[in-house]
Amino acid sequence: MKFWKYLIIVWMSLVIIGGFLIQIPFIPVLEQTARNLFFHVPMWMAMYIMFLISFYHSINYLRKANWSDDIKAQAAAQTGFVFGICGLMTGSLWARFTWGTWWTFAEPKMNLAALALMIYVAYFMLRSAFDESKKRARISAVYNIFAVSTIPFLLYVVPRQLTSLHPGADGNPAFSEITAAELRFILYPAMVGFIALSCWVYNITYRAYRVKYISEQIIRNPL
Amino acid sequence: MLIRQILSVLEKDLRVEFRSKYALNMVSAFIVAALLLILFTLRAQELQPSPKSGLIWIVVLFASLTVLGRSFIMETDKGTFQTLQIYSNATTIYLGKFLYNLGFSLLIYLLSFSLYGFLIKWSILSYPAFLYIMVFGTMGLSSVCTLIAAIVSQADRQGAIFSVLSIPLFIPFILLLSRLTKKAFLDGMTGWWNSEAAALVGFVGVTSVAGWLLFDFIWEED
Repeated sequence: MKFWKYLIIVWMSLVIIGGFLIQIPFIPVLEQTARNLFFHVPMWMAMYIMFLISFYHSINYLRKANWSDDIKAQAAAQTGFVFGICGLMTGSLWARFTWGTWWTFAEPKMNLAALALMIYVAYFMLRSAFDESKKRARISAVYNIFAVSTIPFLLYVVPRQLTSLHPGADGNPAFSEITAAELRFILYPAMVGFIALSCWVYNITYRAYRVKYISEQIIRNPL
Repeated sequence: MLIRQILSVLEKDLRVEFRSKYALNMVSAFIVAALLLILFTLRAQELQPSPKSGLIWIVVLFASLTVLGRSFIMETDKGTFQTLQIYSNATTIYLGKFLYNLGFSLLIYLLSFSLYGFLIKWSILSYPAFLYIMVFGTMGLSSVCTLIAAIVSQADRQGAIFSVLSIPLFIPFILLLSRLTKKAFLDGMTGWWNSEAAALVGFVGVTSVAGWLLFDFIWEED
């Protein structure tokens, strides 16, 4: 195991311990659930980073037709998807204790984030609809790039036109105005930690697909 | 030259369609049945304005999904895709199919909106907004459906994959349109040009340009 992976173990352990143990300012309604900030927000950042990596490798595949780019795009999309699911679940948990419900249709960010994840479900479905690996790689790269071109509307434009319960919308103070310095002390390391963790997961997923791809090639053409 | 080639692709598709009128009949039947079912089940007379304007777009979307993929998927089903590859280039085919789908979605739009207006009490309050929705709504439907149909036409197992791939991409589009529709038909706001109308142009622009550029990679075989 490489050195940076040990570092992530120690780093993430410190983030989790610190996240649960530090003193945080008392805010009515939020109370102790404010600690979720350390996990919920970095998970979304890790997801964005992974989807960007996937997008980058899909473009690269269309340019160079290198099979490893296709596998990287798939591995990054899957890793990002897992972090997105975690972000939704921590968000839903947070909503239960602050907004009083597991899921609310009054909150566009929650619903649109879930729908954005459906794009990647569609991407995985499309990949399973091909028999030939080259064709699968090319066509799914096209879909990935096309789908990413609509994501800014889904996650950026439309949520800002609707009323939202999230911080930073409709008179709710934004993150930068209200977040206490003590919280930032854990939040920024947590962001770094979660992004590094997602890179680790991505690395393992990619290597597993690589082994699978190479072994399939050997089975198909022995010697 | 290019324009004449594009028009000949369009003409070919129209001729194929008018020989059987299969897609035309299917989509009309779908719209009538779906609208009657939805309006009766949801008790349309008690509906609020927002669900009313959202519902019609969901019907238009699903009606488009039943037919707009057809012209492309037929080409690979019948093995005529290779013929097109010999005689033509990517841009011509993409634009020809785009125009055909544009015409078809215009038909779907007019058909469903006139039937909807007949079934529930609904009148156009702002004509510029209505025209705006018509132009950009049909362009968005057709640009996304054309590229997704091209993608699906290459897949070995097709089934319901066309809807699965398209619906998530249409979500911001349908949200924007249903709010604009509410303004055109129910609120009658004169100042209908707002950030939603601008975002709609953005969506249509991004998807048509991305679709046009990416179609080259579907067209080329490796």
